[in-house]
Amino acid sequence: MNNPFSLDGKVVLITGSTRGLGWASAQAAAEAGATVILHGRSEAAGKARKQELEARGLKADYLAFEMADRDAVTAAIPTIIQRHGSIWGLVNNAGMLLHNTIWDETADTYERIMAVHMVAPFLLTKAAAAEMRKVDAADRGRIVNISSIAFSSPRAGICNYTSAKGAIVGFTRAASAELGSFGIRVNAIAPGYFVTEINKERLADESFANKIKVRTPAARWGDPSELGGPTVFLLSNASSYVNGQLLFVDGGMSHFLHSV
Amino acid sequence: MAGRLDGKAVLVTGAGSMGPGWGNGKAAAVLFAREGAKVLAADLNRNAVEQTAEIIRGEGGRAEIFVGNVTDEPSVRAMIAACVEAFGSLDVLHNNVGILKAGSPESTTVEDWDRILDINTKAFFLPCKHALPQMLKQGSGSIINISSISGFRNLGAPYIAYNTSKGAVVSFTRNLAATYADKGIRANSILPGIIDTPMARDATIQTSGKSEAEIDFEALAKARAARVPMRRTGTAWDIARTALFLASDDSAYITGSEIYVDGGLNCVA
Repeated sequence: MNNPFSLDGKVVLITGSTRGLGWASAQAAAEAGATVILHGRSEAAGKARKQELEARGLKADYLAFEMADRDAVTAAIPTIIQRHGSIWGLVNNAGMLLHNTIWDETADTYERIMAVHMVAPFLLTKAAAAEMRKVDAADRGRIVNISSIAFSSPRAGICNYTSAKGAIVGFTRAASAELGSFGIRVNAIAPGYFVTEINKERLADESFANKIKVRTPAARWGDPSELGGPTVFLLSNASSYVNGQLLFVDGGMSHFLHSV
Repeated sequence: MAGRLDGKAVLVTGAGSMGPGWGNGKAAAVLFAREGAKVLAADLNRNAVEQTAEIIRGEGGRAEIFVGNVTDEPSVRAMIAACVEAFGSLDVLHNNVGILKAGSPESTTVEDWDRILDINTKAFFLPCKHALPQMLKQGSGSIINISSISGFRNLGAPYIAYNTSKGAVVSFTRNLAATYADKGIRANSILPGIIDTPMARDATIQTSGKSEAEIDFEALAKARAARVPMRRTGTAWDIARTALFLASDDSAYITGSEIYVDGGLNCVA
């Protein structure tokens, strides 16, 4: 029986995929059969992760570039086409957190955050969709943007990040309306709180870690592997008629809480 | 390759199709079975649900049928018991029953309002009410409730009672999810957009005021598809695949959420 979750023969770029949720998604996509193009700022980390996947009999490659460097971002998709011939999926996952209250927030920080979280995903989407359009098929590609629970349930001190994670939802909906007719589906995921490196300090803060647990209906932080299934769902034919959606992967937090 | 629902006991309500072709419940039951689930296919209509079970068995899958009414409490008790008795557990409950009758706020009679709201909410409440004790015993379960895009977006057709009931399905599901998330039980809603099913065909006939033979379904499908970013209407299989994701452990950290399966319809003006 054909497996609707299969990514056999598909080339998928996942930005920010050498660790955290990106790495979890990369492993799940590779296990579903994709050739995963890993990405991070460091060549060494990308290479190590590629070898790690290959040692498990999975297919991978890697690219290292800065998300804030427009030229480097623009060059990424042509490089993938040159090496692999096509691109099926793009997961815009790379992100960063800068803690600032509104009182010490600056326009420079805002621009930097938006460059990484919004401008780079836009440029990658544009370049990837242009390649997907060339494919002679009705079903041509998938784009998955990683938003955040912060969009629906913000907390103090990450105004810049939260704004950017909202912007990517608007972009997702707009791009889905525009690219749907080309056989390209665009969706987003809003992860809740996961046990990742980026959350190390928050996990170490016992009262914060507990507060999240209490306010998550599932009564626990998410395991990074739990983001793999949703990513593969949106990249594959399993989500065949899902377009423009924001999928919360948050143990139920988004509907039951206004702020953390 | 192992199925995504290997060994799981799944109960699908409204698993028979009301006409030729594929309804959402029928497609979901068949797809779940293809992924290794043991399926209890329930429906009010014996012939319809037998047909679904025959298809599953014909493909080498495991299916039992239950003929009963999901808005009648004794019948629902018997249905849940039949699932546990046949398969030893109840891992996934897929609530798919609903009725549709055209009517604006002015033209809908109180009798129609009561009947539609009663059936379209009890068909979710009762199976959940009686499945939950079993799922609590197991410490796990996934509940999938079929709502509709029309619960939240006006598609232009007058279905005030139906649309209200579909909004209620989402409220119900969110509440259920919040209450049982820490017990390992998940609940999510699917909101289908414009889907080409026997029930949708029936709805078209109802609102058109014409006979079935007088309606140009092909031209209508084309006009509808043009409204959707993906430029096609959906099929019962599209809904079934998303249901499969929600039924499986791939969605282990997803609960209380809604997934529109509408080709992006809710993203356009």
